[in-house]
Parts: sequence; C-alpha cells; structure tokens
Amino acid sequence: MNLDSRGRQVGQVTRQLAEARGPVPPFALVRRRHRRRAWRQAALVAAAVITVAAVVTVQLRQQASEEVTSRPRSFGRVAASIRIGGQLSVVRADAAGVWVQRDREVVRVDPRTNQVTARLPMNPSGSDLGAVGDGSLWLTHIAQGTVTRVDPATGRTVATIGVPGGDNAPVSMSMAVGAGAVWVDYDLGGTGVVRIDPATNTVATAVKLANTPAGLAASDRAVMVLTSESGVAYQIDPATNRVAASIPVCRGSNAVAYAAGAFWIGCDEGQLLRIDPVTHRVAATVGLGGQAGSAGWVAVDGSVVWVANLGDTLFRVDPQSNTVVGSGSVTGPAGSYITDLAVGPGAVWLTTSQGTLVRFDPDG
Amino acid sequence: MICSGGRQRRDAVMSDPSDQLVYRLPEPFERFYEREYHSLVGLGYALTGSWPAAEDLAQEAFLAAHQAWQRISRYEQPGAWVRRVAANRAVSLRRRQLAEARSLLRLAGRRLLGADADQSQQAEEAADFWRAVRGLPRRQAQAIALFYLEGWPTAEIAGVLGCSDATVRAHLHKGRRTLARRLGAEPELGGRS
Repeated sequence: MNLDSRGRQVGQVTRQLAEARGPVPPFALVRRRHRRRAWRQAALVAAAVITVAAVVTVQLRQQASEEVTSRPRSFGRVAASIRIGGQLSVVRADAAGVWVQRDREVVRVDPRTNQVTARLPMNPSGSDLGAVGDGSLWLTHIAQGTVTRVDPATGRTVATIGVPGGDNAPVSMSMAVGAGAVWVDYDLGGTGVVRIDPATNTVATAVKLANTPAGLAASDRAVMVLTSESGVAYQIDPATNRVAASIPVCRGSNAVAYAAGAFWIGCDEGQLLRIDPVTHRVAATVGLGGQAGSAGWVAVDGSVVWVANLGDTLFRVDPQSNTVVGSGSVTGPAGSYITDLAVGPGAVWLTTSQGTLVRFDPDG
Repeated sequence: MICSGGRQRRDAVMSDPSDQLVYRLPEPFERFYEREYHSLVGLGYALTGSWPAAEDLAQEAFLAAHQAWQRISRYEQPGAWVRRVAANRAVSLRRRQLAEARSLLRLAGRRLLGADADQSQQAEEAADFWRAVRGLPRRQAQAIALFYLEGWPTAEIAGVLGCSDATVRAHLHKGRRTLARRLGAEPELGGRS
C-alpha cells in the first residue's frame, strides 16, 4: 500500500477511534474539571511563590537604590487598520517603509500615509519574505534552498544565493540582518547557519550546530539561534563565526529579537526570556500568562519589547523592569488573528488573517 | 509564525463581492464544540500519541476558544483557530506528559485488544503511523497530521500552521518522503503536496 492510501486510512481509523472514546463530554463538565485542576496548580504555585517572594523581598530592599524609575506610561492604541486583502503572512519594517507578504507578492505600505505604494511580485514563485536590510528585500525559497536579494525600488532580483546543500530542500529557513551580514538558519538534518556577505552576495561561511535551528536574531556583536525543542540556544560570535555559547533556555522557543542589550526569546509555555549575551544566561523571565499563551512573535524598537501570543494578545514589556506594562487584543472587533509582528517607523505593525495590516501606535 | 487561510463554512457565510469582505454569522459555541470535538481529539492523538493527553489538549483548546468566542465566532474559520492552538500546545503537552501518556497508551491498547481484535490491529497500525509522524520535525508532523486527518488542501493547512502555502507544500513533500522511507511504503510523490 502506498503512503497516501495508508495515511488516509490511518486518518479515518483515528477519527473512528476518537469517536469510540465516547460521546462528546458536556462542556460545563469540562470547564469544572479544568477549573479544579487550575486551582490545584495555583495553590502549589502560590506556596512556591510565597517562599520565593520572602527571599526576593529581602534582596529587592537591598537593591532599592538601583530601582528603575522610568516606565512607559501607556500601552498604546490601534491607530489604523489598513485593508490589503488576500493572505498576509509576513510583515517586516525598516526606515523605507513597511513590507508585507501578500500571497505571492510583497506590498509596500508608506507609514506616513498608511497607503499601499508598491506591489512587487516575488520571484521565484514560492518564496517567502525573510528580512529587510542593507537596502534590500531578502527572500527565502524553502523548496529550492535559496536566498534571493531584491531591489525594493524596482522589484528586480539582484542576486540568488544557494545555501550549502540547499538543493536537498531545507525544512525551514529563517533570516536576520545584523553585524554586517545576512544570517540564514536552515534545517537540513542538523545543519546550521550561513553567513551571507551583502557586499559580494555570496556565502561567506557556514556554522554547524548540534541541533536543528528554528529562528534567529542578530545584534552588532552576536547572533542568537534558537533550536525549537532541544532547550538550547546558540550564540554565535560574528567576529569568529563560531559558537561562543550554548545557552539553556526553554524547550519550545519560537521567536527571538534583540533590544536593550539583551536577546528576548518567546517560549511555547507563554514566557519571555531575557538572555544576557555577555554572561550567556537567562537574566529574567517575564510571564505572559493566559490561555493559548505561546509567545509566537517578538519585536523591539530599542526601548520596548513587543510580544504577540497565539491568543492574539499583544504585550508591551519594559526591558528596564522586565515586566509587562500593558496588554490587549489588537486584531479588531471584526475578528481576525495575528500572523506576524514587526516594529517599524514609529509604530508596531501586525498582519492579520483576514487581510488587514494593523498599525499600533505605542504613544497613543 | 506566518500566514492565514483555512476552511470556510459556506452555509454560514455571506460574501460581499464588492469589497471581498466576508461576514460570518456567529455560530453558538456549543454547536461548534459538538461538531469539532472528535476531530480535535484525533489531531491531538496524532501529535501526542496518547488519547488522554489528546482529550486534555482538545479540551484546553476549546476552553481557550470559549473564552474568546465572541471574537473567534466571527472568524471565517474558527475550526482553523482551535486546531492552531491545539497543534502548538501539543508540542509542550507531549513533553510534559510523555511518561504519563506512555503508560496510558499501553492501558488504552490493552482495552482495545480485549474489545475488538480487528479494531485493535487498526489501532496499532495507526499508532505506528503516528509515531513515525511524530518523529518528523514539528512543522512537518503538524502538516502531515492535518493532511491525512482532515484531508485539507495546503492553503487551509497553511492557515492553521501560520505559514505560507509554499512552505506547507515543502513540509509535506519532505515529510512524506521521510515517512515513506521509514514505513517502507511507496511515497507517491507526483506533486509537491
């Protein structure tokens, strides 16, 4: 039997087995059961928190003179909902504008007018918008294992760069621009990260990793690479192109960004980790809480960290106090869920599942 | 973490051709819950390998949906939303409850053996198949589970997983190739999906 026939049969059997487990339990019963469990867990957590709090309180009193005084005063507000239509899957922003992947094209939105000012078809077909930087758009093509550099003014391809072994079709490709290079992680059976030199449009070097990469961010002095399920993040030194540290983080890390001298990692369990790139340690853990709390997107504007989770809530995190200073749903009353997040000229930008680009004003 | 799309219930949707906006009549949560529950349990089983864990997973996803039902009910595909929550939570749940799930799976297998030998054999085959699927990278496993359980096209799977259509096709292509090798099956890879 071929795989598809077997897969379809297994799918059918699995559905039958699920139905054979019994009738759908009354939802009221489900709520009661989970509420009781939550209370039990809360009681355990409370006991632990009281113990820890006693210790921390003593330490905080000792550090009172160093307490932060400047915190953001407001969460912000939705300043505009820009209807673009189609499937919006990626948003990136730079000084030149806001760039949105809409189906098979990249749309430029002018942040001064909130109007669409350009539509560039993505070549080759099947590409994804990976990053903007060095005056270019950078596309990934997961099936071909290539990176395409595009001139944003004309939409023309400047260069197509193959990653080593990319013709075997990597499973995933993520991209970041920083430290004078374009960094691409790709999963090709435990491979790693390539450094692309934007001056020559060639692969300068490849960094091997012990675990499958799953996203990365770059600062001027470091590149942080996530591995989704191994519980380790790798810090690469761009001066040597070598792994400088393997940092224990959460299992299920899924987003990373750099701001305020730290890398910020979003976790499946709904926490945001602050990683100190000097000590290579978790310097703080910010709880985001809530149902469906997986921290799916992290973006920064230097003084504020923004996180969106799978519950479609946007969080504003103050990197000085490492606390959430505001949160809320920003996808609008018409109903839609977040598909990506970026911070750009003067605003936070979110793409949503129903073809709308949301502009969120942090000072509103 | 990218993308959108998904299944649309024609009987509950009115399209406005003038501006492409789609207005969905809100559906009572209880009806949505009744209709989708077993499908979500099936997806949870495929991704965790444990029926109790799958039921937990489905119930948590529905609790999340219920809390935000006023908003989610207006979505074009509330079913896609709840699957997205379940698929993502499956990863952490699987890790957290692996030991428990293994023992419960063994118990469930024994109960099935006593109940019906044919069904038990099918259950074992399904368990073997999903075990191989869970051995794939996370996104591949999620795409494969939705592909075979729901029979959805790649655009709709993209809507659940939050990735582009092209990426889903690549995940499916690579995942099925690996699965065919591991299961000793013919891959039947005429296209990329």
